[in-house]
Amino acid sequence: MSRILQLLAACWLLPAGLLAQEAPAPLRADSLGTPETEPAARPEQSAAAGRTRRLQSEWSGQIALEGAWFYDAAYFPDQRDSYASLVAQPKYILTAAQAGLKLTVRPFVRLDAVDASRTHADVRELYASWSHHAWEVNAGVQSVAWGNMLGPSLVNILNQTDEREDFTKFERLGQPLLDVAHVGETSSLRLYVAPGFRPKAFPGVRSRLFYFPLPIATDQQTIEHENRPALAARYTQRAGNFDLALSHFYGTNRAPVMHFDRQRFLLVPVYRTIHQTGLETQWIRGNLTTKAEFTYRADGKNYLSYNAGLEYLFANLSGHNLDVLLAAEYLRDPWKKDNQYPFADMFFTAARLTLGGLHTSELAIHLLTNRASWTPLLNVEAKRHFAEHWQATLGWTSYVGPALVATDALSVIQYNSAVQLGLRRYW
Amino acid sequence: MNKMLAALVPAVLLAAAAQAQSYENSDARAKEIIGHVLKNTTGYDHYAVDMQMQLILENGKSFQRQIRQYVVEQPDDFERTVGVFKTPADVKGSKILMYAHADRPDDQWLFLPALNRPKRIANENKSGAFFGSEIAFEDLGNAKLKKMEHHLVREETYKGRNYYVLKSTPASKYTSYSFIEIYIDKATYLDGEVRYFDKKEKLYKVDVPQYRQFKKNTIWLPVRQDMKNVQNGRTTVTTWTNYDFTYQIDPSYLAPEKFMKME
Repeated sequence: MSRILQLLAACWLLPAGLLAQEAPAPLRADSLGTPETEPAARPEQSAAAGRTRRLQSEWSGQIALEGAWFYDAAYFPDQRDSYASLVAQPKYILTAAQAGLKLTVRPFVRLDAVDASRTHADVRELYASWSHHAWEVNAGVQSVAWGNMLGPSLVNILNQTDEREDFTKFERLGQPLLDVAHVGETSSLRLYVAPGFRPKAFPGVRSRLFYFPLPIATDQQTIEHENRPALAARYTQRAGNFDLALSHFYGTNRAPVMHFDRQRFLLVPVYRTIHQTGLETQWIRGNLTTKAEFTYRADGKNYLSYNAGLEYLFANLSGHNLDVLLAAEYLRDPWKKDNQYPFADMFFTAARLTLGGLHTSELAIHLLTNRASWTPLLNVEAKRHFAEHWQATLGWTSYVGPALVATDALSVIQYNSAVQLGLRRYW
Repeated sequence: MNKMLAALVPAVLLAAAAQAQSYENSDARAKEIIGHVLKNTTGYDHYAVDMQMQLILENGKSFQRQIRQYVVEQPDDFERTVGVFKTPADVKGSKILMYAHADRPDDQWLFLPALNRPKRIANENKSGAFFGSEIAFEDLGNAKLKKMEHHLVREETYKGRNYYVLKSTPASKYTSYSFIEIYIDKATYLDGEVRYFDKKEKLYKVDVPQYRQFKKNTIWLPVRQDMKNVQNGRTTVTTWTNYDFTYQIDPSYLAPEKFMKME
């Protein structure tokens, strides 16, 4: 424990040291009453052109302390009733803008003092980018997000989900990718090669983030074509207020089919090679966004899945910089249903209140409801930024429906209600 | 008596007609003045600039915000801007893409590092604060001048300079202003002061912009803006430094699929 504290202190001091260099001299406010009405007709700054440096590097990132307390009796015996983590996510960017070159490095580390199975490190991004006019090439580990949905997405398939993170946050692992793109004025085409399949890494059965009804034998898992790179393409088109994207993916499905091992009473993940064609649409009118996603997935059987929703923004309510975003989405994924995943047929509803001003405060209420049983999972999170570099969060996740039978896909989740606390430092 | 009336009626009618004509002329003149202002401040083609905002609270406490901006003029429309947020740390790496249109509501996309994808903002309501400052989204840039109705209401000498005073009304139904008084310097055809009046027609904000000539004195661009909210006592001082007209911005970076690659 003391070692963790030492590490913590070291991580805390690091950003403070980095900060010392910034803060430009403040402007004087006393000149406000007597504006210089005569515009200074000084000659053009000849030095200005040279100010844009050829090579620029920049550090940023965040470090956080996160804790949760699960107040209900657990589904599995011996399950932890809390977690306490230190999460670090630094980011380094090196750009040679005029040469169109950029290097991005973004590692991710979580150290958990209570739930060791959550401790993990990942490279979210480590890639080089080259851009010349409309052409762009990216090579390395990337995080790519397809789709426009606020809730879970069907089309977003390139990056594997990070199962050791809270599943309501939709965190993804980095994926080795090589992509070539042509980005035009209103359309773009991107071709991807994704070598190196990354299977899901689950938290241990003793972790409360584990939501499967049986332990998972990852040592027994099979991957149909482990060494075959996935291929993908995505085309986007914008026409005024209408956005459209068409994608195709051929490779190992990021979500495994779970085989039930009757002898050992275990689940064995089986990763199969699939074809998935995706269509995304988005239409904006005034403050209303209408969006939909469709996928056609060939995995033994053919599955047509869809996800459609509305989003409405009430901006600057009564002139107090209060924004309220309301969203409702409906997702139906027969593939998930066939493979006993939770939320295969669900509603996602959200209300997000953001209070602008100097330090943004945010309240987000998310409700994930299984349509068949009308069983809702509620997630409430309040965030407050303060003192320029800090963010405090208070969250509550709870299953708020009637007790579920063991065969329900949500049967484990119903026991994992929790209160979460977080303190984040940005630099 | 009848004779007097007979003489008076045409005189009154004539005066009324003259008055109507002068109003008509004043609107035409206002349009001409605004055209002059726009001509003065456009034609830069493209540039990169460092924008700094100092948010000063009523109690004197202040906060800094820094945005690196890339602006590209659109000959058939208005301008496109990519803003890269540099400070404070909690918004660092966020990026905004704005298409300022001459004749319709602007388009906006926001890239938040936490979301890791651009989000198109469905919001015709531009009355909200830009980045927690006293500047509203609807106050940004000069495309707004094209989306207002302008009337020339008077000419005034103020702080030793001669101004045309325009009374301008934003066309957007979401605006937080009943009208805006724009003081246009007769010598330079630049706005020397802008007074914003709230929906109750009470003075709300006073903006004092300062310009400087660039590109061999062919164009004026803002170097400083003092926006004072007289109702809450807060002030936002914005400065633009390091104007760079040589910086080449490929048009593909102004697409929603790529603007987040800018730094």
